[in-house]
Amino acid sequence: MNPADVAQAAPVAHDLSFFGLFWQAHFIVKLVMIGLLAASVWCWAIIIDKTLLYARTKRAMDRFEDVFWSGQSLEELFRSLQSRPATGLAAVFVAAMREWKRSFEGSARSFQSLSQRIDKVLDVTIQREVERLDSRLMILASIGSAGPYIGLFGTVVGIMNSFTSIAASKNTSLAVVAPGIAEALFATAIGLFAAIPAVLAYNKLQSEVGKLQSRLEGFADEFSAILSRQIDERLAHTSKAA
Amino acid sequence: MALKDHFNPSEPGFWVSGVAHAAVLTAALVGLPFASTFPEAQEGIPVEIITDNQFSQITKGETDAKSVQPTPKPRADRIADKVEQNAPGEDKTNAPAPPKRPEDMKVAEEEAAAAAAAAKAQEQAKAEAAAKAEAAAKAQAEAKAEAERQAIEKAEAEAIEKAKATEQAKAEAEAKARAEAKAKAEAEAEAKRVAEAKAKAKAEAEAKAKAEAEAKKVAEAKAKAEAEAKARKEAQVAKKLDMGDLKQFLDNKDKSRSSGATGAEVQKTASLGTATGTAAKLNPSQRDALMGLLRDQIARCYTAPISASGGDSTPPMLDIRLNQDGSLSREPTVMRAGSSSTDRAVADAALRAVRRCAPYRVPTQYMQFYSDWQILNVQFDLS
Repeated sequence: MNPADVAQAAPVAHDLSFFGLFWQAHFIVKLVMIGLLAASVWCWAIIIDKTLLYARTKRAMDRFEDVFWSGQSLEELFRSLQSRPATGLAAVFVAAMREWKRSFEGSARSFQSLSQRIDKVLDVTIQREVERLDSRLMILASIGSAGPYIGLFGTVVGIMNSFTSIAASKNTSLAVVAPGIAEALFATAIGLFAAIPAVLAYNKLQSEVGKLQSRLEGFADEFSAILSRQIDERLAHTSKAA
Repeated sequence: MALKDHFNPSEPGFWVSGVAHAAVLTAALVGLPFASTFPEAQEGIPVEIITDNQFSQITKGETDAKSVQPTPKPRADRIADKVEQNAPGEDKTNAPAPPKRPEDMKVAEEEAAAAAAAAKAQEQAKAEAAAKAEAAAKAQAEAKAEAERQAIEKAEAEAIEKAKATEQAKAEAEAKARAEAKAKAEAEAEAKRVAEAKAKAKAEAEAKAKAEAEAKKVAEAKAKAEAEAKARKEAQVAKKLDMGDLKQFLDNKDKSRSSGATGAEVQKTASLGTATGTAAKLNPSQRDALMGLLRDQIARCYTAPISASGGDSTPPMLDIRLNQDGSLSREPTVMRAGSSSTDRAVADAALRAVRRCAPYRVPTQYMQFYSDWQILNVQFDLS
């Protein structure tokens, strides 16, 4: 594209709507704008998904805790949860109960290190759950930190382009300079439009993940305590019996 | 990845986000007039920052004037006289040339003088002519006498030669003849001389009469010509009206002058003040010069108090108000003085000096800056 042609064509029609700004922009700036717009769509998709997921997880945890502390038999609870894939606290409970059950299935009655095994299983399950919760949050962080830079890149390219146009047309009046700069700045605007929600949502979601994680760990500790008490009782029982 | 080709109710993020972005973009395209033109630029209220001094120099204008004129000018009832800068030592104003006396008077005088001169010349000429005639006659007579003498001598010489010759040639017999011839020659010479003298006298008388007659004729003709010339000149003067004479005559009359304000051009209606006009102001060098003049005048009346002879007193700041003629319009006051008793004494002495020396001589060139020096707040270091 010859800058002189651009300069000649530029004053004819300056459509300063969003679409006009996009359409008149340089090829690279267009790419940057499209990329940033896609990033914005993606990051809002993540935000919506995660917000719904956390809300669901929280509701499920509340429900499970209600059921768990209602005095219902653990065996019964385990049986009711075992059938479908569990998430959150239920997953932790199911994993621990499964390990417990396995220790009793064989005739070996391996109680010695059952408590350690259960702890390991709990840790692993918590880790897996947390990973599931905060997957894709890093994408938000990346968009939040890199978005402005990408937008700035588009702006710099756009301003460079508009300055070459100025040099070619040998006219520095603001009417000639302004449209090019406006369309260049539009790239930064889109970058910020994508990055600001991403940063805010990242911080908010990260703190919610932290809360859920601590809740999982708290439950796991309590459940582990209950189970180790059971193990000790059974050990005492078996030793008495022996 | 969030990109899923079907809608998952548990993870609707991508679709919701995509639809929301599309909606926002559409709304922006349709609804928002993205670039609205700026409203016409309104200039702010022009604010000019002026110093206290400039503020005090603002001319007030006339309060009863109807409007602020577009080009405000100071009021002037008549055009100011042009000031001529004369060389130092000359009069300030040029004295007008005295009016010329009327031409005919001068002519008459001239004519009389000319007539007198002519008469004198005539007389002189006459006298000269007479003298000439006499001299001529004398010369002629002398010449004649000389000629006669020469002739006589010649004759004698001839006679002698002849006699010699006859003496040589003839004897003394011819001595008689010679004597006779001699006597004859002598007698002839005598007669001739008498006749000549007579003729000469006659010629002289005739010449004299003729010269006199001629001189008289010339004098008469001259007088006639002069009379004619005079008459002609008078006629000419009477015809011609000399405007320069009239102007000079009028210049010598005192003009009737109005006592109103003067300016470069007449301005009968003054403006209702102006924000930009300022009174005439002394420039720094003029100010220094004027201050120096005033300081000199004050210093002459200043006697330093004895306590201030140490020379460590603070010069006081005086407030002096002057009239246009250099007299004090108000009692001078001390604006600022040092705190010690010596400083107070110096300030009082300065005040006394200012009072005693008034009125001050302010050169005329500073008169137009009166508004600038009517209030003087000056630190006079008189010590």
